[in-house]
Amino acid sequence: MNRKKITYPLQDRWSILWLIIGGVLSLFSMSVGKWLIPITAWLGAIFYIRFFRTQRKAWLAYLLISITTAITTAITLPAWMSAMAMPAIIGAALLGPLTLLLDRWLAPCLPGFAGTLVFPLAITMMDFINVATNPMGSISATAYTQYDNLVLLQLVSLTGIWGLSFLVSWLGTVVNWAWESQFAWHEIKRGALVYIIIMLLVLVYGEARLWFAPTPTQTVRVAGFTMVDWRVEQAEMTQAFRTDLNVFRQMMEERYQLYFDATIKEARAGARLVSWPENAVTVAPEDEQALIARLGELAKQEDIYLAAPIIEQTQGEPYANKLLIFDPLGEIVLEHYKYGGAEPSRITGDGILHTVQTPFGVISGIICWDTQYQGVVTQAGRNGTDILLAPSMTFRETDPIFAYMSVIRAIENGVSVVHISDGGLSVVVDPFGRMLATMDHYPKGERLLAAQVPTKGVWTLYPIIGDLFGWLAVVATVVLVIWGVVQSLRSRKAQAASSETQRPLELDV
Amino acid sequence: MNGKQITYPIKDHWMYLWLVVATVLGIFSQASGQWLIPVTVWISPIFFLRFYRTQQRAWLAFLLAATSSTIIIIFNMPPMLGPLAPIIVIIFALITPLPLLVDRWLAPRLPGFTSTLVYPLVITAVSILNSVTSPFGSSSGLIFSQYNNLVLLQLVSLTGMWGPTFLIAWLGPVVNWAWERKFAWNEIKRGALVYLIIMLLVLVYGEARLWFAPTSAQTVRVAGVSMVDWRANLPVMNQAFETDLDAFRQMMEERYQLYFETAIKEARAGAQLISLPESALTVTPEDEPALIARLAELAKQEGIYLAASIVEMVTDAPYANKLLIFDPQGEVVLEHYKFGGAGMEGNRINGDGVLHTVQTPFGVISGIICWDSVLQGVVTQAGRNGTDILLTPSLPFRETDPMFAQNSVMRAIENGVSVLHVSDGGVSIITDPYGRILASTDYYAQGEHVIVAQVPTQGVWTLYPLIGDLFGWLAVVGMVGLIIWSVIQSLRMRKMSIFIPESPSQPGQAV
Repeated sequence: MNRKKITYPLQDRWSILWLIIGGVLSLFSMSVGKWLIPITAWLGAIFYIRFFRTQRKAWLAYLLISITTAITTAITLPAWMSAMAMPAIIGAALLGPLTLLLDRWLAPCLPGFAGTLVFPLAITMMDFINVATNPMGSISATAYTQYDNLVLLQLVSLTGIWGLSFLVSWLGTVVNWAWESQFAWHEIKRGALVYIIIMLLVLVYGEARLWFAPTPTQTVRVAGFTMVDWRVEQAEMTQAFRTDLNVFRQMMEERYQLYFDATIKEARAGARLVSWPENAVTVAPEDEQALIARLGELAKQEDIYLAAPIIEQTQGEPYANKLLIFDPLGEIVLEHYKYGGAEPSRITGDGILHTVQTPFGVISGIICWDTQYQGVVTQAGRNGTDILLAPSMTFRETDPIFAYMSVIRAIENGVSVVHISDGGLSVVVDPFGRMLATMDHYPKGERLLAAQVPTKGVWTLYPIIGDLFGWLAVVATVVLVIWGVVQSLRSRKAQAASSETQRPLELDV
Repeated sequence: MNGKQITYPIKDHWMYLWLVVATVLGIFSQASGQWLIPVTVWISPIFFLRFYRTQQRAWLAFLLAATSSTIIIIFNMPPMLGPLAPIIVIIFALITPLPLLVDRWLAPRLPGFTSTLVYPLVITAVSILNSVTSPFGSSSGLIFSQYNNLVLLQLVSLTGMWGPTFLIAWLGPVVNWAWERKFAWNEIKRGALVYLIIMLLVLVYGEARLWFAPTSAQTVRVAGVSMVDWRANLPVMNQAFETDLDAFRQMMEERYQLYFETAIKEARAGAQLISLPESALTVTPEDEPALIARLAELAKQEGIYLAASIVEMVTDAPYANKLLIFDPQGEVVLEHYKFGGAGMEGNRINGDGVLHTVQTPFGVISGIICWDSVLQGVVTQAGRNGTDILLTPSLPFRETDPMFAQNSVMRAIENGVSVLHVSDGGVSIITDPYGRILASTDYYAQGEHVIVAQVPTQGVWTLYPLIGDLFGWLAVVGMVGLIIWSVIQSLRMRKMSIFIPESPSQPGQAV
């Protein structure tokens, strides 16, 4: 019943219209784009696939989609990408449409509903390879486009972000498959029900997980704040450092005071753990020891755990961007070097997540860009972390998606996340990704956030199986491609054979 | 094409399966229930409607549906209702299947896709009628089941709760309508696309509204503190009040100290507006002036706006449950008496339901108390009188948690105001004018019951407070109109049928 053979190209005089609709929708479906309307990520693929399957020449379809992708990417790409913008646009334009090409080639070779799997598998593989190889990390993954759907996002606790890449893109081929059967119910019933039931199960999983989440037994008051707009004042700071070290020291001392005062204030209001944003304290290497001693003294005096990100200001030598956590005795109990991102001449950390046991659970820490490496952060889901600190410094253009990456890391690993951000949305979330507190960097007013954070994380599957679902998509796609090649070689052979046997026959007639 | 006439009952030998499926889903679809899986609220009516339309005898169908409703409500009954429980079970069991009955009667009389409107119109009409007649206001509305879908909830800024209520209820008849046409695409195309496109527009509206919401220009640090478990300590307090007034005063003084100290702590950390939960300060009328003077002193000393909820302890006279807001000069700048739940909380003085406002350096503030927040029509004043930050100090039961917090979120989106909902015995929550959580704390975890957030000092304009419950009343009018129209239709048909049988039967006889 499902075996009806479809051959591409399909006849459709609206073909170009589908390209235009797909293009317009894709303006609103980029995770780091200027305008994000999450539902367009589901719908865009429907029209791109339809367009591709209705074009007579596959190379022309590829070219047109490439051009469209280049245009839409160029329009929506945030300004901060600057030098990386061109490679990103070219990469998106050339690699993105490959999934459509693969779909057009392989989908008709597969029987019935199985053909719908080619595109989502290819997209998931593409997402996976992109995330694994892109120096920018997972920032462009499909999952992040669904930032506002906490129910759907619960799926990442099982499959990681790959489950979402697959489900979101699968809708496109399922709809096209039904479309090509003129939505005739007796032909599409099974396939449509398979997709609907899987989606319902995913939603029920998410909704039940959120509703039945147990009340935390214990919470701890955590505070975070940003006192300085680091990036805005960077030019002035660098200038001072180069020309007059004393002026630089004076300038930094004023900042330290801001952070010290705010810390004392929040500690006295009851915070037991205080986090500063990335780069909160900038220091010359020779002054660092003295600064660290003062930070230890501060933690001791206020009887708190203090998470202070430090950045060294150097003259060209490799510099450290690190997170230090001080305990109430004033000791450094955790040291983490940033490893994510490719900032030139920075000392790169080893990517090992350390932990520290506190009276309110196990704490671990990463810095900003590290958050994007979902594979590395899974350590937090395995090493017993309850509260993960992710101090950050983001661009206005990446706001608020950077915060939502932290949310997804929280759900994946079952840890609370304290994401204090200079230049972006700060969030504190529980192990289910539910907001405990949020604070926007850009309004005038105090930039403070305080929350009561659960002291226990929850168990999740994803950190145990890691990116298994991503690898499965890679394996499945490769197998499909090999199978497709073998099939077409065979059918060519068969064709050649049959034409040899047929020719004499024709002559006879 | 869409005019195909379907006659009920439909033949379906799976009909009892649909009833079972609907009942199981129904157990998980009660907004204020024990096990809420929001998606079941959309799906369960599909099967209820299917079952109902396959039944030959409408009364039997009603009886079976009522039984199923009884099972659903018994599974979901909050224990706090006590002796009220049987009455609620009966009312729920009898009322819940009514929309199905109306649908069964009216839908087949309407042409094509229009017939799908009967059920959602009835559900919406019943919802609004319930909200204006029930002392519990709109708090039992099915919309609250969708608490975790902030995108969908943005629609209430336009239509109030009635838009989403209609859409949720509409899915059932749309699917049944398609089902009865065997999902044949050329027959159902138009109707299916109408529903799909409306849903897409609603989602795009919500997603765009959230994404393109402008950054607020200014925020203010606010804090809420909940220091006493009022209800848990109620018997001890009553006992002390009745037997030894000095012991009562001593007990209350200890509570005041807790609130005073925490307020001072938060004020010194930078909070400019501090809210206590409902009933935070319990006092006898004769001690009240002294307490008010001390509160004023506290506000003045710390230079803060202080929102203090006071409940009077009296023997037989009516008592006040009120919210006082003190300004940094120590003056009372706002006084609000609770008006919700009139007659349900003993001999209480009932407020006039007028929302007062006070202009502060960080926007216009207004305040209501707990039960008031379920009366959506009254709260729309906040959307019209320029309120930027609405205070809703509360004292819910554990069983109603987090319902009151969700009510406050709904009021925030409807009226475009930030809400500071500080709760004793439930989730405390602070949201921005789009219902986005700025801070949230769970009352039942051990730890400090303090909530802190940077709140936008500007509300946003919304349509709903201007048009009020227009969409709800339209549903009522639509339902009544449909019923009248159908009655007239059936009278006419009956009249016609008096003549019709004669004409065809005569030639028959002739043959």
